[in-house]
Amino acid sequence: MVRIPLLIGLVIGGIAGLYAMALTLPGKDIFDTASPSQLMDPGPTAPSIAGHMKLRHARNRPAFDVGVFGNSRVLMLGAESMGFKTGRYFNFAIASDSFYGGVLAARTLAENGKLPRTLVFGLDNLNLQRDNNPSWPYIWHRIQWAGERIVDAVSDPGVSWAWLARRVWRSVWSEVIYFKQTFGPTMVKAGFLRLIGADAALEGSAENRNFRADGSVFNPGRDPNIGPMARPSARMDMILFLDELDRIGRFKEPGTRVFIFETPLYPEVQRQLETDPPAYVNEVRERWHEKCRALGFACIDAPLIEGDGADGRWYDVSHAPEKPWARFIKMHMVRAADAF
Amino acid sequence: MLFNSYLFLFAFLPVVAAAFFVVRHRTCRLWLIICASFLFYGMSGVQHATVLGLEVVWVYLIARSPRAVGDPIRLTLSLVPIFLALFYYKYIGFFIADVLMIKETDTAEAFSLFSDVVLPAGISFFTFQLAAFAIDRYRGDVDEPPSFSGFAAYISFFPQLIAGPIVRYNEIRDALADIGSCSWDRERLSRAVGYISFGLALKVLLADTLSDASAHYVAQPGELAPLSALYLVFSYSFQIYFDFYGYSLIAIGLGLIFGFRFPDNFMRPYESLNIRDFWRRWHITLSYWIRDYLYRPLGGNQSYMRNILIVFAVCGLWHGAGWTFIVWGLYHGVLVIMYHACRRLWDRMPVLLQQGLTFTLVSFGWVLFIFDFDGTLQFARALLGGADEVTAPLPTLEMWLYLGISAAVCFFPRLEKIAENVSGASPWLKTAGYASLLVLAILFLDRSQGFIYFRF
Repeated sequence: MVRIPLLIGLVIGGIAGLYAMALTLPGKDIFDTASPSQLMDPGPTAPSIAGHMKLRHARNRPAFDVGVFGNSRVLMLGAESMGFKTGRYFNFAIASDSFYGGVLAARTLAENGKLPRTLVFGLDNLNLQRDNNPSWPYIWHRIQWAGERIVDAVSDPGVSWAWLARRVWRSVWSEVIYFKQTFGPTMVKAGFLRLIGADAALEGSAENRNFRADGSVFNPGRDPNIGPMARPSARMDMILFLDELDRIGRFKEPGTRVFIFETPLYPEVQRQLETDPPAYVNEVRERWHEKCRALGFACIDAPLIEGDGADGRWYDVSHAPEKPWARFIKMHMVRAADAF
Repeated sequence: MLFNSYLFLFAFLPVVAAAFFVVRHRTCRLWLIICASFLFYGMSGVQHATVLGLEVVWVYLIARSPRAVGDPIRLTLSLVPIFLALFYYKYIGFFIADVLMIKETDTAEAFSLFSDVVLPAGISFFTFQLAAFAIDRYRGDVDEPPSFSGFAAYISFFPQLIAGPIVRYNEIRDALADIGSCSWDRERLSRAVGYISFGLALKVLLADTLSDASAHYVAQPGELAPLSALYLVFSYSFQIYFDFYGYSLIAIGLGLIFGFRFPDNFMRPYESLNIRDFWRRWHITLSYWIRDYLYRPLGGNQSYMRNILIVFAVCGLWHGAGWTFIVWGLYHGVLVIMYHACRRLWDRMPVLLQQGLTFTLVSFGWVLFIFDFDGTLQFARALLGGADEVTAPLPTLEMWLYLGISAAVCFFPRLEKIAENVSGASPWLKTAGYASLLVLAILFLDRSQGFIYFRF
């Protein structure tokens, strides 16, 4: 007869063991390369692995001057295009991450005493109304931080039980999604090879989206062939979003400069969606700017970035070409520097 | 919802099973099963769950009456709507386009009748189960009809709803009656775990691996080398077996959790000595359904050839709406008749040769499940070395390895004992073995595909 409790224990233990294996970091710091322009392919890695690799890199060296946080919409911003030296600038963005995830990455750096003096956050274009949970920290961090948020919310009389229930459910569901993204034969095999030191970070190629030494990912661009886009039906969680801005205000050190850039959309699509934005988009934008003014952050609306053959092409509807996007950010950083 | 999904394994099943053991009252348990089953089914479409619900109510209302026994009008009233629904959802497109040969350009209105029809998963299974109940009532084989909740639970019970086994009411009548006293029996649950983990492993680790490995062959039937074509024949043969056998084992295991013992659906079919033997071992519950509710009413062994061809054509049509399925059924019918004709000769052959020939004939028959007629013809040409251009690579060593492992598992002499958890191994070894199978299956779950028989 099968011992059912033992079987359940073995299954849970087996899954946890393999999951932990999939989350093993490469032994080598791929961002610590000799040549700043060299591209590195870390092999199959979940976004969370890339996130931890970046944080480990930051922990082992003096704090950077400039750190970029967000998701793939700012991940392509490299030191060269932004006009910074590689050793002083680092892109902490993670593919598929949320604004919340970027804030958590910055907070982790602050907890380790490695917070860059200038923080550049990418905020997904407000017409998309994207509002995801973070995808990179380890599960215990996510649970801890989700718990903190819930505790904060319970003490806030303006927060309803329905909102709380939605948040709890969302956190649980997000964990399921992250698990499914990470727990598979490819990731486990890659993790196992990393564990036994048999992995070899490969030299990346310009045909693929590989990491640069500054944490950014080279984006080869392509002919996007983008048509009109239907307005997404999602709605951002205003309470959470404003709360995140407050959190940045709490953990940032005196003198830290904070920039938040709304990411652009393909120009035709952006024009189309901005023609008559619905009230909730305007409201989020208004409250965002209001909060930024109160906290002393520089918050900039999405620019129109055309992109062309010489300046780089759009990758898709929400991933701008690197150079003009970086120029826009740098210009605002320089312009706003006096204001800080 | 699929058995091989995270949602089912980690949310639906634990919650429903826990609720089942918490609730003790018989009627409450039946309604719990009904609600869970309709939720399970309704997740693929509310409309389909409504169809299922209406059919359950309809057949119950007609067949529960004591006057249903021996009344052909009531029997007809029970059967006509459910078979009409089956026809509408499954066969109308085939009927209009392939039987009446109406083209969309000729009669757009006729096409609009079926162009948006989505086949409810498992409609052939629950239609046959409903029909079996109605016919059994008519024949007086079900002397006392169940309560509505018992009947609805019997038809909609999620472990067997979508791909069988096709269970007769009398086979689970006692379990339905005693469901209130079904307790946490370690022995029974231990066996359930064996079935589920083994079934899941067969599906996820073997069937899906074979499917992935030969997917590029399926996509280009006319561009295969003979060896690649031969590989596909046997690879698909193992794939469909492990897919359906795996599903059936999971269904049996799930049934056991709730106190039901479903009939076996497979008995080492690829070791059959002849084609007639094969049909006693493959999809047994369908074979017996056809025998009891079609073959015998047609006259059975009187007019043997005619009846065999009819039942096998129907068997093919049951599997799918298309001429290829009918041809597949007739192919088996002809093989059965041929065996009948040269039985003395066949039975004198060495056992291994009989088994090998039967397995090969059955495997070649499955080609009609993979391709339409054009694809089958292209494939046949490729198999005989007549491909215009061979672009698909030959099977790799890895692919042969998958096939070899599949064959070893398929013909392993103690396979059923492992599945049924009655082997003589120590409890610790069995526990570790099943846990390993489950962990491995869960690891590969995300790339797992739907069950082939869900289409039927």
